[in-house]
Amino acid sequence: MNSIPRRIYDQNDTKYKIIEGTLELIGVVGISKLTVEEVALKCDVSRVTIYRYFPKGKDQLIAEVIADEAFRWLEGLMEYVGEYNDFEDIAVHGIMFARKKLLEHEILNKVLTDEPNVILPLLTVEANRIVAFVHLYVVTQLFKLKLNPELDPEDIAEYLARMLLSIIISPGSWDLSNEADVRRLVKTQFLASLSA
Amino acid sequence: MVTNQVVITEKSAEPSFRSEAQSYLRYQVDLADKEVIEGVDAPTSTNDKILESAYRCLSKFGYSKTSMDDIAKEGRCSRATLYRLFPNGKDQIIAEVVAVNTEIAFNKLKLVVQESKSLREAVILSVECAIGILEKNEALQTVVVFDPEYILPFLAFEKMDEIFKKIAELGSPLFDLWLSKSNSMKLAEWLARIIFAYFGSTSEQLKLNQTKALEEFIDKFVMPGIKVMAEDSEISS
Repeated sequence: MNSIPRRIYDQNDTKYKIIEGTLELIGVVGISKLTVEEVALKCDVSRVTIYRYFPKGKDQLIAEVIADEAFRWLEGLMEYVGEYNDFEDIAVHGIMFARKKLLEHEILNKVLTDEPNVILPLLTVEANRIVAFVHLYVVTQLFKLKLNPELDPEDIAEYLARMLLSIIISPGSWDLSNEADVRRLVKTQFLASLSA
Repeated sequence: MVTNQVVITEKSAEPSFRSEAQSYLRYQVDLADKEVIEGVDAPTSTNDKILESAYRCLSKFGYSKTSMDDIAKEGRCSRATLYRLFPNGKDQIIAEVVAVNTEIAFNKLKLVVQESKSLREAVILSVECAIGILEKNEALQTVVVFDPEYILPFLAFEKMDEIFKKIAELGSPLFDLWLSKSNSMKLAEWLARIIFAYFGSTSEQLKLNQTKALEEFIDKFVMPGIKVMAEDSEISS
């Protein structure tokens, strides 16, 4: 149904090398001004090679770079929350970590500042995949809670996935660098309704 | 109470922008309810006409295809008048349209929620009404479809934080009969978050614009959290 962000490339792969080079180049010239020629030059491959891996050219390159970065973000997040067992702890530390990584992503923040109208439509597409991924992850973690039997696990997962992503992108009045505040968020807005 | 204010400001001798906004407001509320009484509620000031014309242009053409000429033509005023009232052009007009529409929306929400007898009812009515307002806003609907690259930057990251802040402020009076100011603000923000997180993206799990599904959703996912939040603040205070 929904394809989940994934990295399919080997690190020695030419395709991976092109993805990495494109990301670095975006950090310098942004998205609008990026050309396939420059990517070819930077990665020391021919234009033909790039079109062999990315037949749709620049748009496909950019989309795959974003998908790859989203995967990296989720991969880091999964590894980090793997340290915690308790559902509440996973949520609290997961939210804090995800937000921190988002703020630390220099290239993303540069593009968001310089070319919001270019990057945001692309991120919206990615966001749907991220929601689908978080939804699936949440389903695997629900056994840790004594759930309210009236709730459908699918509804819970969808609610958590959407609201978590919303919070992480725009925290509003919640201070996601303050553990006590995040714990209050998780307890009131998420756990209160899930537990039996 | 709100209705009285509208009447009073409209009758004041020197029309301020506020009264213009209010008459436009009434016009729009009536439009939304399909109860327009022609010639009575139609905007009269040039400023109102321009805002309304901009709204219509946005509804028809979206953002990028709406020009100052279109707005002038639709509002039957000259380009000179248009630029005199809005020297910074299209974006200034649109900012004003958004400001006025926001005011309309929250006034309408207040009127609707006033009738509610419990916090639960207030929550359900406000979400239902807010979704109705968003769905009936043709300008918003068209721009979302035609110009995602224009509107999305407003709906993510810091810009969205600003919107949440504004909604928390404007929306908190809706619940202050039942909750403390800070909890009312948190609730208004959370409800806005729910609407934005589900609105526009097709969700198989949930159709928030269906009353029964919405009620169930609020009962299951929102009300328990409010209870804990209220208890929490009682303990800490």
